Amino acid sequence: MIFNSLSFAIFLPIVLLFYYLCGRRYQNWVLLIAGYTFYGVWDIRFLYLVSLSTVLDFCTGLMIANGRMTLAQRLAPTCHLLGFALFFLVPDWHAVVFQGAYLNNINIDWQQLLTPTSLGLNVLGLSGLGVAVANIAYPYVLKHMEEKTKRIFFLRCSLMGQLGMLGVFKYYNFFVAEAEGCLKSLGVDAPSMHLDIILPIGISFYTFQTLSYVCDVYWGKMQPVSRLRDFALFVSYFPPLVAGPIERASHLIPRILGERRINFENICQGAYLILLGLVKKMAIADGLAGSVFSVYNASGDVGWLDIVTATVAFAIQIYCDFSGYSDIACGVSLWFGIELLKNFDQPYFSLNPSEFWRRWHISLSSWLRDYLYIPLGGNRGSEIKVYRNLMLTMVLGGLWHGAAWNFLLWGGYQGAMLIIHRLFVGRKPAEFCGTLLMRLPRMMFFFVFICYGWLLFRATSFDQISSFTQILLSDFSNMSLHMKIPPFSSLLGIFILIFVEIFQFKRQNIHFYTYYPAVIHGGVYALLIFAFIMGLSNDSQQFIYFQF
Amino acid sequence: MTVSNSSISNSESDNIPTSMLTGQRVFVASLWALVWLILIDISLNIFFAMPKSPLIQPSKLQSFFDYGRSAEGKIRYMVGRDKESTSMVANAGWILENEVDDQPKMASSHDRVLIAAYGQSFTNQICEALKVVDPRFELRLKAGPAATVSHSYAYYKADAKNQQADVVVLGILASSLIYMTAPTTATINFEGAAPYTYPIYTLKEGHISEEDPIIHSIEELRTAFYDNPSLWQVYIKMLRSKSPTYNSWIFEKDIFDYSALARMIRRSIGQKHVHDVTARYWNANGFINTDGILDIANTLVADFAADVRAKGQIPYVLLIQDKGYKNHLALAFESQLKQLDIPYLSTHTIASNTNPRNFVSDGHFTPEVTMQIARAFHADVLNKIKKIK
Repeated sequence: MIFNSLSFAIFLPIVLLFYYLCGRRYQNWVLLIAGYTFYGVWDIRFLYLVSLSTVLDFCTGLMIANGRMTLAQRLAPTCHLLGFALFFLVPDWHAVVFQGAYLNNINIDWQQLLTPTSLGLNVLGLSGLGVAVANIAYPYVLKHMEEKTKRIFFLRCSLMGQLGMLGVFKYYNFFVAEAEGCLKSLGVDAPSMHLDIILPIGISFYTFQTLSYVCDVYWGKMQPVSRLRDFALFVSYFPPLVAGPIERASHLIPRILGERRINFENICQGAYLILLGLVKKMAIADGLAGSVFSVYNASGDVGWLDIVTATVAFAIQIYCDFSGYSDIACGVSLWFGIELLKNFDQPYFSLNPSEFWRRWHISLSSWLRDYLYIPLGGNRGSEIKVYRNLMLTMVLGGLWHGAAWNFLLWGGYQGAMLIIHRLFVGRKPAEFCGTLLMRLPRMMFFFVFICYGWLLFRATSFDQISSFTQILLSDFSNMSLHMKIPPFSSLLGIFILIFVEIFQFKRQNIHFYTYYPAVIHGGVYALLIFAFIMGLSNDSQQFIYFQF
Repeated sequence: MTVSNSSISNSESDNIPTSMLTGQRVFVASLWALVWLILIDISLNIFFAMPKSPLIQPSKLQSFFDYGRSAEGKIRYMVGRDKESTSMVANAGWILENEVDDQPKMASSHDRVLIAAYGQSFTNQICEALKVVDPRFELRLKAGPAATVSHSYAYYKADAKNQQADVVVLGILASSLIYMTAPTTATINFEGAAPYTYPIYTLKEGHISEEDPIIHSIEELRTAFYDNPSLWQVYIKMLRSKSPTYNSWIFEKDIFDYSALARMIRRSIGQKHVHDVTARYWNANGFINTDGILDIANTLVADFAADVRAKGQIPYVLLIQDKGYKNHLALAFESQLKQLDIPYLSTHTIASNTNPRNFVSDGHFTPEVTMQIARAFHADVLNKIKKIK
């Protein structure tokens, strides 16, 4: 289920209705069921992974902090995991076929739907075994392990489990393919170890989210969650579930456990964010996708102007696609009275790489800072060590985006930019205090470097990176433009977005329109609604960050 | 990468004083939003209205804001009271048994070759390029905008007695194949609605059965619009009952045609309809035989080839795989074409249809690609003719 779909437009009001009708006591249940439904619609089997992630970190969190679990705390994850293993076991959704002139008839092959697969049986068996071993080993661990050893042991269990899952689903095939390629080039004919698996949507997001919980508990920054259903909601809270913002446990869990403020202001701000997000996604990003595709996925001759325009278009596309998702997630969440982390803060207004990473995908960059860069040593130590830390953090940040060399290269490029920037301006760069107009030349200059990074990110192969770079630097002979012209909705949407971002920057407030009279306030709404309606006709594209 | 050790701030700074978003203020702002939207709608209808006459080419923006008009609304706009006030598109594609035109009926001399082609603009462009490749070829072209195989087959049947071509070409366009589920392309291709009609073919005990499209010519359509509205109602009724791809909200004229914003909403719903309908008959692996469309299409091709051969002519099938259709037409037709030894050419073997550079903005092949296809077609046709002559 994606935010810009009809199914979500039906799903959300139903969830909201139940949420508002239920008292505070049952609201978390509504959100939990909604989260599992939202995720399960893609492929119900992947709920098992969400469950595994939930159960693992719920238990390790309690064991790290308290060193023990109550019977109820052990029973709940046991039932949870086995229940979701059953979901994995049973349904084969290919057995459900929509037919009829308006796809209004549903044919269900019940036999196919309910016949267990061997993989499902294995998962159920292994889950049962794992749960049994954990419960049998529990008294031994309680009795024989020292407190300190226990804390480290369970931290390692969590890290190995979470990163192991991420590794298998996201990186295994990539590294195996590369290794096989290397062996083949050396003349060794190794048997294929490729696994026939698909990447579960949002695995990188919820894995990082739960890792933040375990680390914070280990470092004593927060108390563990004592009830599984609260922790399960932290993992499966649906607005940020599949494409962020990557919520911090210390930020989201208190909002899940505490009282919520749902008022008219929240609802209005949420509605604006949803509308803005939909315009960014549907009117701009989806419209630009075809134009970018026409250059980056073309096999014919590509000229300098094509590369430049397509790369700038991609810079806008990826910003609108991703920040659009974040805006919708934040807006929807506000309707539930839960404020999410800010994920974007007008990144293209940045003047340097350091500022860019304070404005772009903030929830990831701050995660990397707190859980990778600082533990690596951060700014402490010699300059060489700081550069190493920066490079390592950014390369791993690049790898987080996907198992491909161009993401690694992109991460390396970002690391190199940060290092070069640090070399030039030193440890504590002075903040630029000029007006927007005075910022503009520096913004434009730095935007060129951002765009080259996006070229590395979007390229389909190393050969393409090489040939595009060569053309950009030395071949100005072909200035013809073959790129598909973006639709009117995108052009209008970009025009509106530029104004919105300028006013937002000037006011330092995403809800800048509230400072103006109602006639202008209403005009902003009208323009966004108009752009949204225009954007409805663009070919719907999957959110780019779903693949990560 | 920020290097501060402080934790990330959330959007507290974005919180605004509650007094700024009071109910009254939002209500007034919403009313203003409504007023602005009405003004935008009226402005679009005034400044980007379609030209009064359908003979005048609209600008891109005029077309853009009109894409969402109902198919019926578009067709009514195209069809004037007389021929002079009717657009070219409205006149195109009608299948007339005794059509009067100046196209050749047979090759002008023994060293010339007449090609009679039944298809759509793609087929026409390839044949015209063929003539450039080899001027000895003469052309008799019968086509409809984005015509489907049913239309091409019916056109061939109607025109067969009028021509003694050496080679008879049936052009099958991948993106148009699903149009054979209705007697008009406008039930699916509503953005570029063309009024011409053709029979719906079905299979009854392995034999082709024909469903009459009720309206057969532009004159009959004009009558339906201006003199005999009940004829149009009968036509609509037939579409509702016979076409699984018909959607009244997209096809039938209503009040939404008068609002630019409503038209854009209709356009998006129409596109959803097109996606849903397309998904019934086609997916990333190829065409699906829903409603037996592949069986029917293959039967039409086989019947076409048999009929052409019976007249001593050479049948030829052009499988035109347009943007994104990979080799899907070949998958759908190749086995039968080989089995019946029907000469054919599939364009995916000449130019990749997954490369956007091979297409111009309206979806047709670039002139270079068209020429490449024509050269391959030329070589193959010459080979076939040598066998006979």
